[in-house]
Amino acid sequence: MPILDLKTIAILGLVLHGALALVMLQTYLTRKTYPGFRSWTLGLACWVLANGVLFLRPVIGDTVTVLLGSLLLYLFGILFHNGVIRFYDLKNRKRRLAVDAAVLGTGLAIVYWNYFFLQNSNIRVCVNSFTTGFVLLRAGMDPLWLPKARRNFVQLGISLSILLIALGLFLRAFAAATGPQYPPRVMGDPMLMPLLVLGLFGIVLAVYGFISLMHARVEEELREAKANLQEIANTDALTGLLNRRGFSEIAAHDIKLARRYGHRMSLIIFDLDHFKNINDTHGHAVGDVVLSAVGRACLDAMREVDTVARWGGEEFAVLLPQTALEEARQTAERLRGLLRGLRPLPGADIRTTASFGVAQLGSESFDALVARADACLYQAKRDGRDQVCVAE
Amino acid sequence: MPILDLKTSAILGLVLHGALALVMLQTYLTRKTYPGFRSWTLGLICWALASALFFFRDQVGIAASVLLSNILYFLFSILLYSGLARFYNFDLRRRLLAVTIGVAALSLGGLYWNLLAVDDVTMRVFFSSAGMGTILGIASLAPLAVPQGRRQAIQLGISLGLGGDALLFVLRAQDALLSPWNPDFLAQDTYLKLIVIFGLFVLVLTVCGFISLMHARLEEELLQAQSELKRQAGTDALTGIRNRRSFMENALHGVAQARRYNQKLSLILFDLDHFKSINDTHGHMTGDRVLSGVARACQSAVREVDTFGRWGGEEFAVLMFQTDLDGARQTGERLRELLRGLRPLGDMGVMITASFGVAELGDEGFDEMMARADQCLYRAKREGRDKVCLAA
Repeated sequence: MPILDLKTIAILGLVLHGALALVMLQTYLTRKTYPGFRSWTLGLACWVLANGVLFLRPVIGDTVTVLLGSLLLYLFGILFHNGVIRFYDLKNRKRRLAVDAAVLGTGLAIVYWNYFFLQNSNIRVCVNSFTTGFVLLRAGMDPLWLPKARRNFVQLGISLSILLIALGLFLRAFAAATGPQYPPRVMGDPMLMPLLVLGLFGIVLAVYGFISLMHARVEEELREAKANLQEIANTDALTGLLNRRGFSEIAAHDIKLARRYGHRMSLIIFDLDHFKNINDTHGHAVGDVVLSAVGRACLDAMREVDTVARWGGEEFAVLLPQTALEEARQTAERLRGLLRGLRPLPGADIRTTASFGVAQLGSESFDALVARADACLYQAKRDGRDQVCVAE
Repeated sequence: MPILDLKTSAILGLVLHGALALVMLQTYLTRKTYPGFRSWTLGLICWALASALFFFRDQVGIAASVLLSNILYFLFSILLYSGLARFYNFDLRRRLLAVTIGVAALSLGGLYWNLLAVDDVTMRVFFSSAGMGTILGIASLAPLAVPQGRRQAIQLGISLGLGGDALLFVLRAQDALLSPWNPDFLAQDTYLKLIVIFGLFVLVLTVCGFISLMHARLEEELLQAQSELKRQAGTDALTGIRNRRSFMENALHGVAQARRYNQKLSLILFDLDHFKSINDTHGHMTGDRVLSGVARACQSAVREVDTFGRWGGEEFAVLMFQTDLDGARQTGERLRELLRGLRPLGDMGVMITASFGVAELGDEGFDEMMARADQCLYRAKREGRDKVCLAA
């Protein structure tokens, strides 16, 4: 007696794959899945049915077994391939499937013709194994051309499983083509056992792979959603600049750095002059356009290390790391000139000016630094607006 | 020959469970998982090792096989339980863990004593089966005491599988207890075969179940993050009420509805008086607290059907459904009184007032209604503030 018993493997495989098909169906119906999963689920169901039909041969008769079993086997192959194409959104889906369908259609025609006219088991086994192996080979290889999938352990596992089944099928086809005449029923086929073993393990691992691929995508979406949340919490919706919260976070970090390495650091706060007038005369929509334009212009004019934020209503803040007061004053003057020349609405003569407060970080807290810059800003407003005032 | 061959089933089970242990390990190392998964992974590895030792007991020697494989089997069952306990985090978690460890210790003590003193395989089968049955029974039942576990189809499946396994172990223990002394007990052990075959399926499906539980929790987190994202996108970060975007969405919907059913719709727009001076005198932090206080007070003062939002800086808006101009004026007056009496910084703090503009929807669109309310608001400001003006 060989180590492994053929019938035991067949029964265990059938029950196991049947149970996994139900697991996939349940996953498909109740979990968030992505394109491709439905095809894999249906493909697995076809595989289980094909094996079931084979098993029920004594009950349902040869004709139904051969005709239906081959068809289900082919459907399994093409559905697995389709799932891969859909999951990775591969190009030329229709053309790929058309090639599969052509090969499988030819195979099916030969198998049916053979069944009715030749009754040669070798031909049936050879054609069935070869065509299914061909489609599975494509299903296993297709994702490996994508760098993203090639680097994915799970996909490598799935491809390996499917390719091993394909290899088993090719060996079986080769044995049938070159070997002696098989008896009408193929339980004597020498390659059946290795194929069943490969199939049993390959399918189980592929199912875990499919579920794992879904898991990975949900995870990716979760990461994205969390990053978005973080961004929304720190971003001003109107201008796209940081809001006060985001600015405070970065400032806290920059201040720590400056203290640690003994660098200087300065803060500019500016407020648009007579902004209410723009809202009142032209409406809120125009006011919004002006704020956006000022934010954009300011962001473009700053160095990459500087942090620009909308501090509130029509107030903006710029944090300048490794910058002393005098340099910050020059930057503020440059910004003042820039805003004077800005025409946020083409065609409409809307001019903006702003009043600036500048302060350099001393030994105080961030809030105290802001308060000093803010006080200068109001000094600038009182002194007639459109000017820069520096905190000593 | 029986339908299923024991050796084949054992080999298939061993290889399959070994492969699944690797799948779980890979999932644990590369995916986001939740408490409990590590225990299950370690448990499955123990199981695979134990099965290997049991299977190769002729090669490793009976003593080593019995000593080691039984420890590993008990570790498997304890880890399985502790994973479920961690995942559901139920109240009796620690006490039940102590119970499982106690049962395992008693069983192992009996086993080792038997091996060294009596060497009766029937008694060994009794000790190990009774212990395993008890621990697996606890692992299958405990999650069902948690509502969260009871409601989940996946958990029901896992519990059903583990419970079945536990039952088989108990039956096997009973069988061993009642049968006479027999050195060849293992060869005639009917329940061993059932346990091997049933265990093969149960473990495959349980692993699927564990991964599925992770998947479900991941999905829950994603849904939460997405709804939080949606909420935050429509919420003003400072005051927690609707921001302009969300207000607009609601307003456009309200206007369409009012048109469709020929209902009245009114808008109140109000702006805090001399708010800049609060910021200037007390600082931005204080200004922020005032805005939050105002938002909170007004939110609870308007009807639940009304839409209340922060329109910009210190400007707020209320959209009132099925309300005519006079109804809205009354609400405006009520809000004005409310704000006059409000001390957002405590009893000694600043006093605030606001100017109100009220308009009713005519034939025009939302923007025009907003513009009319805005004009009224500025008329109220010009006429001395702290008052309500109506659009004609």
